[in-house]
Amino acid sequence: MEYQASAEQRLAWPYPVHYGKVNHVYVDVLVVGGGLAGGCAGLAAVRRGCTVAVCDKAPIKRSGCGGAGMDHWNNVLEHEDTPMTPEENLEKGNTSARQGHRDYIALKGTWDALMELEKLGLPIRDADGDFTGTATLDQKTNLLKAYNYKDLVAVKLRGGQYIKPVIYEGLLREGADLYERVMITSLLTEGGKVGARVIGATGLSMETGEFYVFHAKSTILSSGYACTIWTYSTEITGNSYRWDPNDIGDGLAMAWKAGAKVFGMDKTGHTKAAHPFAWPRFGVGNPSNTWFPCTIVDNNGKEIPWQDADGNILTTVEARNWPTKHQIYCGSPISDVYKQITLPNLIKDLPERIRSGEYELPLWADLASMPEDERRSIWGVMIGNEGKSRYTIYDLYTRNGFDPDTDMLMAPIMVPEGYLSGGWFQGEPNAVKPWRSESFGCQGEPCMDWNLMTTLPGLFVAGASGGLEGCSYACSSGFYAGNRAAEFSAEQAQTEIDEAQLQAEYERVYAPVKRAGDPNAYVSWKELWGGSARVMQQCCGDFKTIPVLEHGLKWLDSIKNNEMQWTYARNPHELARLMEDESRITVSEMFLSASIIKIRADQDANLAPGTYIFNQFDGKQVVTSYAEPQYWLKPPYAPTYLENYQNCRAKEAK
Amino acid sequence: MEAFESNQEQVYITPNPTGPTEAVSIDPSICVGCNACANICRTQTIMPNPVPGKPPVVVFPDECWYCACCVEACRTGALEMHLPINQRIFFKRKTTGEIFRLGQGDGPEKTYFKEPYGWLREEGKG
Repeated sequence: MEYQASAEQRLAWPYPVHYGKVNHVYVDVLVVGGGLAGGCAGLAAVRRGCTVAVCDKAPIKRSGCGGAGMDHWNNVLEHEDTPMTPEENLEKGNTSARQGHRDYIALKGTWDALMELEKLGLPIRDADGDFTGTATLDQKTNLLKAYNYKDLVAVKLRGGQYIKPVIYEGLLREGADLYERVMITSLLTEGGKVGARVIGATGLSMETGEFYVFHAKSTILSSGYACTIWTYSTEITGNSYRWDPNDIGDGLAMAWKAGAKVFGMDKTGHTKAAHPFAWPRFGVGNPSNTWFPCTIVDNNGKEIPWQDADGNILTTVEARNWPTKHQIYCGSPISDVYKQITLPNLIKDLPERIRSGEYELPLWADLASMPEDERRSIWGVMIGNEGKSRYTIYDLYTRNGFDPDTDMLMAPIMVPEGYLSGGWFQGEPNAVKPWRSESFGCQGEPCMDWNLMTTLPGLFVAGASGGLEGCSYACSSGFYAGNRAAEFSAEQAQTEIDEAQLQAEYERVYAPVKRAGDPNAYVSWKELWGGSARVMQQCCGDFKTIPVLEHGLKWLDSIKNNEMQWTYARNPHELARLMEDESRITVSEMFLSASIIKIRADQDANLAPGTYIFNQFDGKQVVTSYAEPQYWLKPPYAPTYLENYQNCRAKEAK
Repeated sequence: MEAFESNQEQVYITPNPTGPTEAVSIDPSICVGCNACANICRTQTIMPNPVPGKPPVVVFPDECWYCACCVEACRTGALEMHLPINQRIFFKRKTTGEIFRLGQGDGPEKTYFKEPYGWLREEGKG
C-alpha cells in the first residue's frame, strides 16, 4: 500500500540481477512444475536413486493449485472396502473423449499415494476422536468419508492444509535439488530437432534474471492446465479463481513447440466452472462441494427440500449422503442408470418455484441448523483445510463476526436456473460466456502411452498437464510418472545440447529486456495478454466456423509479428510474465487449429465416430493423426487395463 | 467551505493504482523484516524491501491469488489479508434476523474461536 501510495519513488529490485548469465545443471530427471504432481514425481524419482531437479515459478513449499491445502481426496478405489474397483470404473465407464489409460493409472494409485503422504507426515485420520460415533467416520480406518456414508470412496482430509509442506520436506530430506522461482521456457531436443527425444530444458530465474540450461535424461511436465487464455479483465481478482495464477499453459506450449502429439484441444465451449469472475471459492452459501450437504433456506427462512438422483425427496440430512438403489455409491459416475456424477441435490424444479414466487431470493446456507457433527465437518474439516479457504474464509469470516453456530451465509444471486447445478460460488452463469472450461480433463493434453510418456521420448506428464486433475489424481500420477521417468533415465546417457537451439531460445527470452527503454517498445505484458484473450473470446467461442477460427489464427499471427515484437521487460518478473504471454499465444493457436481440424473431421465420412484425433506441430505445420477408440487396449498394448499397468510397474516391484 | 492544502507535500502525476488495491497489508510496527511472507508468495505479490530489515513491500496486489500463504508464514502476525470489496458478502444472524456484510465497520464481535481440525500450528491466528 505504501508502495502504491508513493509509486513515484521507485524501489530497487531486491535481488542481484544477472541477465544472460548461464547456469548449467546436469540431472537424471527434470521436473517442470513442483506442485502436487511434480512434487510426488520428484520424490518417486529421487527414491529410485536419480539426481532430480524440481523447478517451479513459485516457492515449492506452497506452490501449485493444491499448495495452500486440500479438503478432500477423491476415489480411493484401490482400498479394500470400496464398492467398485478401478477396473470396473474404467471398463463400465464412459471414457469417450478421454484417454482412458491415464485415468486408470491415476485411479489405481490414489490409495497408495494417500498412504504415502501419511508416511510423509500428513495428518489424515480422526486421531483425537473428534468424530467418534458420527456417520462420516469410517470405523475401520478412522478416516472421514466424504459425500458417501455407505462406503469409503472419498476421504475428507483432516489436516489437508499440510499436503504441500510434507511433500516439500520429503523432497529436501531425500535430496532433490529445488529450483524455486525458475521458470522453464522451452524443451531442448536431441539435435535441436522438432519431434526428437527431449534431453533437457531452458529456464529463467524470476529473481536474478539468470539463464538455466538443464541437461536431463528425462523430463516430467507437471505444470498444470492452460488457464486465463480467454480471460483478461481488470474486474478479475485472484480471490475467486480456482487455478494457481502461475498455471497458464507453459508446459503445453513447450511440448507443442517441441513436437509432441496433443489430444483434445478442440473441446472448448462456454462454462460456468472455475472462471475468475466467480466468488471466493467455498466462500458463499451453497449446498455442494466443500459445503455438501448444507441445508439451504430461502429469504423467508423456508427450507428448500433435497432430492436424490432418483427424484425421491430426502427427509433427513444424513440421507443426503446415501446412494439410491441404482447407485453403487453416492456420486458414483457409473451405474446402469446414471452416466454422470449424480449426488443428491436441491429439488430439480427449484428454478420454476423461484420464478413462481414460492421461494424468494436471496437464498442462505443454514449451517447453524445442520447437525453438529455435519457443521463441524463442513466448517472445521473442509473449509478449515481447503487451502484457499483456511485463512481467507475460515479466519477472515469469523474475525468479521460470522459464526457458523448461529449465522447463515448468503448465496450468490443468479438467474434461477443457476441454482440447479452445484458450485454456486462460480457465480452468475450468463456472466462468463464465451469463456471455456479450464477444468476436469476437458482441456486437452499431450498424447501419452502407458508409461505416461508423451510421443517425445523422455518427456513424461503428470497431474493436470496430463489432464489428471484434483489432489488424488495429481499425487497418484506424479508418483507413477516419477517412477517411469527414473526407469527411462537409467537407460540413457546425457546428450549434448544443440547449440543453435539453445542460442535461439536465449535470444527469444532476453529480447524484451533488450527493448526496455526503447520508445518504440510500448507493449506491457498485460497489454499483450489482453490482446490474445480478445482473439480467443471472438474467434474461439461457442459458435465455431472454419473462417472464424482461421481469422483467429491470422489475428494471432499478426500480433506475434507486430505487438509481440514491441514488448518490454523492466525486471525479471515482467520478463517471466511476458514469456507466459508467449505461451498463451502458442496455446491459443493450438486451440484454434485443433478446432478447425475437428470440424473437418466431423464432416469426414471416412472417419468412424469416436475416432481419437491427435495434432502435432512438425516445425512447419500442423499434422493430424488418428487412433481408434480405446487405442490404449489395442496392440502394441495388452488387452486389459490391469495387464498394462502391471507390465509398466514390473521394474518397480524389483 | 474553504480552500485547503493537500495532505501530501507535493501532488504528483502517478500511475493508476491496481485493482484490487490492497490484497494484503503489513503492519510495520509488528513486522520484523524477516521476509518469510515474500519468500513464500507464489506470484511475487510481496517482495523483499531493498533495504534489509525493513518490511517487505506489497508490489503486485493485482496478481494476488489470496491463498494467504504469506499470512500463515508470518510468525509475528503482522499480515492481514483483505477480501476485495466486490467479494465481501452478507450473513444473517438467525436469532435476531440482523444482516451483516463482511468487513463492515460496525459488524458483530468475533464469537467463534475454534481452530480447524488437523491444525498443527501452536499459535492460533485471529
